[in-house]
Amino acid sequence: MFGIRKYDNKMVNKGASIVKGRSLWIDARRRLFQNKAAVTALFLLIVISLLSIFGPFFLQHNFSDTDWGSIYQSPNLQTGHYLGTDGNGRDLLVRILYGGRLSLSIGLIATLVSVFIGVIYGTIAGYFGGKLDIFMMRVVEILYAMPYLIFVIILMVVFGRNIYFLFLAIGAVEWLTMARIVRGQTISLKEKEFIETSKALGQSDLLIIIKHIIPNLAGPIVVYITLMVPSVIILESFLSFLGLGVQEPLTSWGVLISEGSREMEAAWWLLIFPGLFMVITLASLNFIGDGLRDAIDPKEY
Amino acid sequence: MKKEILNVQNLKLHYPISRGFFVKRNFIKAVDGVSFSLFVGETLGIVGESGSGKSSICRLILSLIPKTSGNIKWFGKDFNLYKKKEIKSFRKKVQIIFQDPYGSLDPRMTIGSIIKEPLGIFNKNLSKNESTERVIALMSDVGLSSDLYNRYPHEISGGQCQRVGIARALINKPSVLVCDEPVSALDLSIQAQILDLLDVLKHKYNLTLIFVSHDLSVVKAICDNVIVLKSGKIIENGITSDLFKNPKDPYTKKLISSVPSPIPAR
Ligand SMILES: Nc1ncnc2c1ncn2[C@@H]1O[C@H](COP(=O)(O)OP(=O)(O)OP(=O)(O)O)[C@@H](O)[C@H]1O
Ligand SMILES: [Mg+2]
Repeated sequence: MFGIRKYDNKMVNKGASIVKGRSLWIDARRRLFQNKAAVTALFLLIVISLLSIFGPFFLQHNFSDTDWGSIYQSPNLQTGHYLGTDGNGRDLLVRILYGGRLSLSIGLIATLVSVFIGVIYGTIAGYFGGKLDIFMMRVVEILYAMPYLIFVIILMVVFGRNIYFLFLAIGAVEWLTMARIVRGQTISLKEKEFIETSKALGQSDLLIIIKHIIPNLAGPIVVYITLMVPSVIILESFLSFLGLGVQEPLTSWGVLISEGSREMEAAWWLLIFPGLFMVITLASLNFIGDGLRDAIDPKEY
Repeated sequence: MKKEILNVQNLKLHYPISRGFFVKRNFIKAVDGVSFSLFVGETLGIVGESGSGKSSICRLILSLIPKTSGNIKWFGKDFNLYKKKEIKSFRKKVQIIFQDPYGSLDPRMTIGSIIKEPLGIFNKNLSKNESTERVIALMSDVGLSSDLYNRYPHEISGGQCQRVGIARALINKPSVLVCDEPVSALDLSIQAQILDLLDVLKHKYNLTLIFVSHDLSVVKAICDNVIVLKSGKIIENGITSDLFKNPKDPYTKKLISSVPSPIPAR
């Protein structure tokens, strides 16, 4: 991912045996793969992602097709409604998989956007320090203090429910935390002698940040990503629960759960199955995050 | 008369310690009015106990941290008057190696790319093959096998790390090398090897050296002139052999007498 550099092996090893170094990433990967919980979680996450992406192509039902002849059907292998149907006779499995596409991609995209903003903001504040840092962190604190949920609700009411707006609303909150974490890590990295040496070599501040600070932040950032995706998914569910999420006929896990909870007594499957998918995903991400944290040598940071 | 490369006058570095609004400000005087000169081709030793301000002086003369007051003249020109471009070419001419061998190498980069970094700054039009060749030539100069090219810092020893640091410092052929306790973190036998290496490289690359140490025997072995530092002040300076024969200040005497000699004087 970040900062793994390879140089021309051919020329270096003219006549010499090929000696390849073990980067810290390779070490971390080995340790991660020794962690059974993390590997299982990774496997589950991959299965759920693949199912969400490709599953709907192999199912006979469409996510928006209503079938008035078979509403509130319980899970049934014969009819092809493996996980049953909802009040409009739509197939639950397909809807869960479609919802998964949406929930997972909101989780991933909103996270990546906030990581992008947070890393730039945090490294600049942490690296340059002084008054700039104080100013930038005040801005973050002020934004933190905003009752953002009310903000989001008002904006959604004014501008209507729009999926891009959902991304924006979530991203606008999450980058604050990222910026803080990155700033703290940057400040401790800045004290390292290799940063000072690089300055003494004549390297520009921008390149020091790009070549040395960010690659060395990559570990904590990756760990944080795995913890942020679940929080974004939950945030989206929460907004959906309030009726501010995605719009029909589109769906997300949050929407499905909130609908399912209303019809829990009549049709238990409408709550249980979407809930199960979400819980497995969130738990997997947490296990992967823990595994990564252990795998990426803590004494490095 | 030898040519003067660096002239430092009344250099000060004070760190504020009490930040109270009404309280009178107090300072740690890390460097407190230091003046000295560095001449072409010499090896200047800076000795003193821990906390006496040796590293601070190194960072100040390289302009890695801002000074509180004083004057630094590099190559006959007041450093305050240096333009941005001149500072950049100054960075090419004056290099530094630090005490912590692992700490001064980026743990995410291979040895080859670490040594190559300065080439990327100053010789942008060098082809990839040419720069790799230069890196390998330098690796052999500092006694590193080219096998280590694709290794990472955590895969090599402390002594090898220090050699990498030296190679990186020398790749753009600087005229001055500042060594801030380059061997203090190493085993005694390795210390001697690195000191020998520095001596060889000094002649091969026509270097002027500033050599910082708290270990007088090391300084005695390789320095032409010495500055003795205590609490940010110079308390004695002069030609190394004279200073060792006739230390004037009691502090210098104490430093000299308390030092066993692991490295035979050359
Ligand atoms: N950032 C800082 N803030 C406050 N005080 C500092 C700072 N950096 C250094 N000092 C103080 O300045 C003094 C000189 O430090 P310096 O690192 O120059 O000593 P040194 O001679 O290199 O010591 P050593 O042999 O341990 O490396 C010390 O008392 C130290 O505590
Ligand atoms: Mg020091």
